Amino acid sequence: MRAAGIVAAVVLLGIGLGAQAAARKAPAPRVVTIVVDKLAFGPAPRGLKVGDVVEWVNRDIFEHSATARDGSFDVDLPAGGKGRTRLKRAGAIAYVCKYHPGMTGTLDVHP
Amino acid sequence: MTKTFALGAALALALSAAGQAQPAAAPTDPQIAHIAYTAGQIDIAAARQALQKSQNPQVRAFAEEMIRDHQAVNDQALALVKKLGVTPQDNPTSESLEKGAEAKRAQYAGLTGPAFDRAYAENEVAFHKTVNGALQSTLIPDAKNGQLKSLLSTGLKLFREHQQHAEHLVMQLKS
Repeated sequence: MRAAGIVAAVVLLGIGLGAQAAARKAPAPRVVTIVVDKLAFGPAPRGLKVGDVVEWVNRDIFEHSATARDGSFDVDLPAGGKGRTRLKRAGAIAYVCKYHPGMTGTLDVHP
Repeated sequence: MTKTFALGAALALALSAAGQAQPAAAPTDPQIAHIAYTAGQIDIAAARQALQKSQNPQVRAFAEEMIRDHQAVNDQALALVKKLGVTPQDNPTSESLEKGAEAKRAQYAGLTGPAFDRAYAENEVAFHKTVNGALQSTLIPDAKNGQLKSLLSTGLKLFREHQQHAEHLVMQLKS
């Protein structure tokens, strides 16, 4: 009975540790902000990783979009509004506003 | 293409003729506000005609963008003149622009399908090019009020984007 109690305690401890490890492995996604203002994308943050979330904040009075040239994302950004993109692949991802083609930028995403 | 050039030339002439009529007097802020607002309204009217006539999704998306963007700038222009207590003043340049645009709309009313789409897209390139030239060479340098100058500069940046987008549209319609 006593042995069984010890086993149960060890098992519970193991489950607890496992849960902690899992929690460490899957932290909340990092959210980085790119500001769109005066018909230009602000600087893209460095050190981006797959799984990060880019929040696009449109401060203009015009509707914009953040549209990946490779088609991996296409977010509409209403005037004064926001949009989010989760980064799914590593590499240099060029993006453009589909309404204002002179507005461009590149995300450098690490694995 | 000839028609596009003709419109561009007519607008350029209108703008320079207005300048020649009063060689010593640069346009005043109320006149500049009126010209910029009129140019925006002309493009909105052209876009509305495109939405009535065109079935091409790219042309329609472009027209919707023109209405959205020009309306946003003009709303801000109206708010600014109200804040400054300025009444936009009609002038020969605005009148010429409006007259030229009316003639274009009447001409395009007779076109349908791809012929209309091409004419609209090419005219959008020419129109934005002309307005951008006027903004850069006359309207922005001559504007006295800093806030008006700043709004016109935003307008120039926006209309350059429109010109580039219109150029893409012309290429897409050709292919």
